[in-house]
Amino acid sequence: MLKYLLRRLWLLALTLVGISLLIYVILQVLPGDAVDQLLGAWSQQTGTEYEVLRAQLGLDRPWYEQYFGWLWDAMHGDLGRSFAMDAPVLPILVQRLVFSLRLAVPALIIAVVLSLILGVIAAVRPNGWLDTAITVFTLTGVSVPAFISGSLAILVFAAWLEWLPSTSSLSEGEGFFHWAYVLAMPVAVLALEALAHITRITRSSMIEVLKTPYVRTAKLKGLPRQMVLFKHALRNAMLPTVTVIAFNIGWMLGGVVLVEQVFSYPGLGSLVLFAIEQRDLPLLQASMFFVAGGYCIANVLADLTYALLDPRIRYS
Amino acid sequence: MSDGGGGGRDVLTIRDLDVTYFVRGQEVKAVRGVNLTVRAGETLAVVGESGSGKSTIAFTTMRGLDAAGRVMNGSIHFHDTDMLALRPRELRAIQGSRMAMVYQDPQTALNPAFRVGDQIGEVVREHTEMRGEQADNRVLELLGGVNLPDPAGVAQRYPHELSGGQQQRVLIAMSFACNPELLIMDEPTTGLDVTTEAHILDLVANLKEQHGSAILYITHNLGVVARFCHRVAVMYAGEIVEEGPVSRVFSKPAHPYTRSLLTCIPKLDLSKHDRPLSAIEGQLPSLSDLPTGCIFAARCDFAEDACRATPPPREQIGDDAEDTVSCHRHRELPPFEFERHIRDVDQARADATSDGALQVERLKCFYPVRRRIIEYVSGKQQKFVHAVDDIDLELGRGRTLAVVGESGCGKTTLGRTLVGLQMATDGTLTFEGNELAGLARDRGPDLRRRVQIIFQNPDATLNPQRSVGDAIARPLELFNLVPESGRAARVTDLLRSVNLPDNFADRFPHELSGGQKQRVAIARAFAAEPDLIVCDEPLSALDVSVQAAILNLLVDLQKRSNTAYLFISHDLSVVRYLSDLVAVMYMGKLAEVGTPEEVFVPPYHPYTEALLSAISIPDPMIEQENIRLEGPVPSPVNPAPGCRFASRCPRKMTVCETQEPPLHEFSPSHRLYCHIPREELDKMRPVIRYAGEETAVV
Amino acid sequence: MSNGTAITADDAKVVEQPAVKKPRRVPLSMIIGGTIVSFFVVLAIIGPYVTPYPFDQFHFKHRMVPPSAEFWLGTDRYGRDIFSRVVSGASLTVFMAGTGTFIGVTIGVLIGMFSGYTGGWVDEILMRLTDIAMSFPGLLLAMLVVAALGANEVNAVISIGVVFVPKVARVVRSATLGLRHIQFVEAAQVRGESRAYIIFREILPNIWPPIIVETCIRLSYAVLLVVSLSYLGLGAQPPAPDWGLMIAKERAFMVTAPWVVFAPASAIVLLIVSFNLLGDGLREWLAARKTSDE
Repeated sequence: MLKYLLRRLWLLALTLVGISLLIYVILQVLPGDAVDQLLGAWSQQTGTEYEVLRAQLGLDRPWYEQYFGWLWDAMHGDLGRSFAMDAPVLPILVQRLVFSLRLAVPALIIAVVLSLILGVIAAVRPNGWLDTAITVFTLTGVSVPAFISGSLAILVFAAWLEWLPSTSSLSEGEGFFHWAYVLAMPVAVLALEALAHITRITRSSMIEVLKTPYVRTAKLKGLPRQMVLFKHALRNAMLPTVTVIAFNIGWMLGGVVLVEQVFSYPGLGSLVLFAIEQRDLPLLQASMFFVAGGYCIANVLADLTYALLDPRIRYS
Repeated sequence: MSDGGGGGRDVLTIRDLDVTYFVRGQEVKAVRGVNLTVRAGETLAVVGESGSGKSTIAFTTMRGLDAAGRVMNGSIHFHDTDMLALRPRELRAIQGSRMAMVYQDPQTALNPAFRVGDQIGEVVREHTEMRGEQADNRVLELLGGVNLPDPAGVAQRYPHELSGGQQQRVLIAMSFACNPELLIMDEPTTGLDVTTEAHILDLVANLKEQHGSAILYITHNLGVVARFCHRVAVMYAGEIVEEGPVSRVFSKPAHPYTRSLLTCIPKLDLSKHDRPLSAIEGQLPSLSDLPTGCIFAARCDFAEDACRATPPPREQIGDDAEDTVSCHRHRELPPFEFERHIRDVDQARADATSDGALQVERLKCFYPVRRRIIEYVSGKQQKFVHAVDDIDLELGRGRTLAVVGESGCGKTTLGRTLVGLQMATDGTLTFEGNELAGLARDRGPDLRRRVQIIFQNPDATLNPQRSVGDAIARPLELFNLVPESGRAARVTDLLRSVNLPDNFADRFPHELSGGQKQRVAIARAFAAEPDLIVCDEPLSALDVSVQAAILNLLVDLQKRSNTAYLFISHDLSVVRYLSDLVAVMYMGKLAEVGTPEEVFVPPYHPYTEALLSAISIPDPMIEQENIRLEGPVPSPVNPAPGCRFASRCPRKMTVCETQEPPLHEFSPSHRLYCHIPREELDKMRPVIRYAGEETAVV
Repeated sequence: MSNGTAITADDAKVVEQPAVKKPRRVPLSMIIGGTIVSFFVVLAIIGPYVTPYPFDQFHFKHRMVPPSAEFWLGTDRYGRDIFSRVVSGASLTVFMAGTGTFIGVTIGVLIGMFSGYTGGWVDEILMRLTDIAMSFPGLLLAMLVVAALGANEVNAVISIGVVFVPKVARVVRSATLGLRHIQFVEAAQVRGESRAYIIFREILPNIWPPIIVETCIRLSYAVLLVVSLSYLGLGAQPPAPDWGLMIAKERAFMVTAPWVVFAPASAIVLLIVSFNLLGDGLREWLAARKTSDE
């Protein structure tokens, strides 16, 4: 297991470097040079000033030199300085990350717990009325984009019923209930999609597993039904589910952008959007790296969980 | 073991059982009117080919039928309990404790996510009062009881860490957790090597003796029935056509189907030079649209109009009420006879030796074991799996060389290297002066054309998206054998040569049965007009009746085309029937080569001896030595010096562990690699003999 | 019949033998999904010609009017007819999603088959690269690409292609790996067929089912990406009648005039639902076909 862990961490490090390189390549090498776009506002200015600014920002060096410079600094905890905010990037990112996690973590927990239960219920009697109801629900869940479900929620719960606030700004020092009150809608919207995805996969993998010979063996051993279902079947059905949960973390990080936009919530997603709008290159690079890196770490965690659940992986 | 097991109480009584599957709007009447009784201490075999309904009986008895299957009629009583009327709780109290089951594919029957000890412990805890340490000890006791070395270690393992034979032992241990009164075994040794099969059967026989359990044994293998069971019920297309004591059924089979089954399997004393095998023509009837008369009439050599009109009644033959047959004409059939053939060893040798069109010299095929990046960096030495290790063979035009051995012995690698699916590590392959080097695409087109292959699994051998005609025509096009205008006619010729109707050219693989697919694969191979065909277990996925037809076809085509076969198989009877030369392989090394008349009689290589002793022969007139291989199978990764077989050899000497075995040449064709001195080898006793004689069966 | 009806794999084989083959029932979800998808495709082609008003025509006297006989789905703040805008928007969304998916699937299929069939180092490197690309949540990768190239329709399409290539390549690669050592492919190797022949004639015809299902799933994601990007201002630009853009621009008025958001939102959800239905139905149907073929 330790060997597996080490191998996985080694791969993670490689992937993180690859991610940062990819971000750099996309932003620097592709046509439609982002540097020019960044300097759009100044590019009308005279040549010398333009050159001076480029040199100041280190943009006159070849891109790979800039990249390794960035990587070197990044490994020392310096992710550069935001043009637009005129402040170091890292503290801003950390603050926004914390905000985003306050949305994403409760949403994920709710989604995982509920979806496992719903998935098993649906799989026990495929095509029964419960299964049909759950299928309709999950199909809707995966088909409604977060900005639509978010808008709808605001319309109903904030505008018409006036139960919940339409924007979700947090102030420190408030109690748990205030947070729950403020965050209920964005968390629910975020959880809905993940819930739908995970339920679908749990259901279909559970149906497959229930057909396997080892589940039949368990049944014909004379074990009680719950034991067959929750011990023998669910444990194996969880395997594809874990992968999908990890995948959904990525989906959620994407959904965070939309949800934060809808609810005017100051998280990582709206920071990315801000960076794109302001053409704030260092901020964009760093925030993208944060999001993708976070997703990778989630994937590693999923792989490790997978290995815990499936002994065949652990020892190979 | 052939006579009655001593009429204990009735443990299982099945009366008039009908089971139907409802699949996509069709009713498949899988089991119809089945009556069976299993008594305490007795082993009843239910034997039949695929689609006979035998497994359905097993699962219906356990109440493990899947959702699509339903019992339409009849009763199943376990002692006096009506199994079909039980409530879930009562049923669970019986399942796994008083009535237990062993499954066909142990790999999938065990849950991959739990340690095997826990999977057994579950049964113990569910069905007994044992808890904690007491239950754990019971698990170890059970694992010890199935002769698994180091029970405590095995209990901690996961299923994938065990071999197929060990997994099956675990399942057997699990089934004996509560000393069941009835044990149902569903093809428990299918897919296992013969030596492992022999061990498993010995083990079950032993456990049965200790616990007095009754056994319902489901199988397609008549040999196992003859060796292991008291009574046998022969099933065909959902009905029992004949039932009786094993001794009677195998010596005086009364139903034409039973008789065909017994004659269509090649026996150890039958060679292609003696006679063609008697195949059963035709196909299983559709179980959703049954014929009115006898179910077997369409394929029966003796069928009359009366047979097609009314179903035959079940009639008693002999004194026993359970000695029955369902056939209109069973009294009129000619007597069933066992044949014996006179063997001329010198003639066989002359037949086998020839110009040596294919020469295999010092062939080695190693697979590198994958190293991790860290191991590359640290310079750790590359390890190899020695799949084929230094082999010399020779095969003449129009002859058949069979390669036999257990799974993992390297026989398939040898075949794949020949056709260029794999690279040889060292050594040379020469075919009529041309070197067969490298992969197929590196060889010249002519050489590629002359060496073809027929694969094992008929379901995967044809591209599902391509018509039969296209598949056969492709080699004609690729090798420019026939101009485009004549291709259709040539395809028809080829289809006829494998006994398929002309209109099959337009069919797609999913419209064909397994045997038909294999015929198309044979036609495709012969389309290239090859001089050598590698046959990689082409029969092992087929039912015995279909096997016989394909074997006959292969023999026939060889006579006409003078093509050489390298025939890879694990089935010694098939090998004996088809081959001019036999090579026995063990762990990548050659153990023995010779004509069948030389290999199947003493002097033997100890491994050949053990293999022969392990096979099950459906013939009551034959006696068999009881030799079992103990000891661990060594790893094929960088194997230790000495004889590969030393760790399991019953005749091992100290020298075997350190030195390569020397070559004994008994005749120009018969070579044997063993440390045992020649005089001792000459003194060996035949492993398989005619009852009461010292003559080897060959 | 790998583990389907494992209980009686042996006996159920007979089920597949009957000469009379019953036609397979087409799943309801496939019919419904297919019908709605076709409807949208037709709308995308003829939409601009059948609208009552040009999508960008201002009706200053009728701003923010609720649905009526004159304006079936009401008007927005500039008095543009929402029905006309939603119908015109269909072509934008459908073509953007379709083109992006086509690019992604085509390139992904080629890479996946090549990588899976070739194996070894090539496969290893290509798969590591897809790993890296897949470390980005789809929407964020699309945003990154659009940020680099500039926000417009064409770049949004390209970004969808970029997001899909690695995912499709993965799916196709694993399907190809499953066939790499299957016997009919090995038979072709023994005959000495070229790599291209084996990939395109032996393997490709047999991996259509997963490709078709994957394409359907991709299409639903593509619609989601298109509307999300334009919602965020990174796709189509005003005054384009893009559904996502309409929601973004009119959202401020949704409390007083819910219809401004209702129509484009329903169109989006309906289109995605129908792609999902079609995908689910196809998967079920192709799986049933597979078992009855064996």
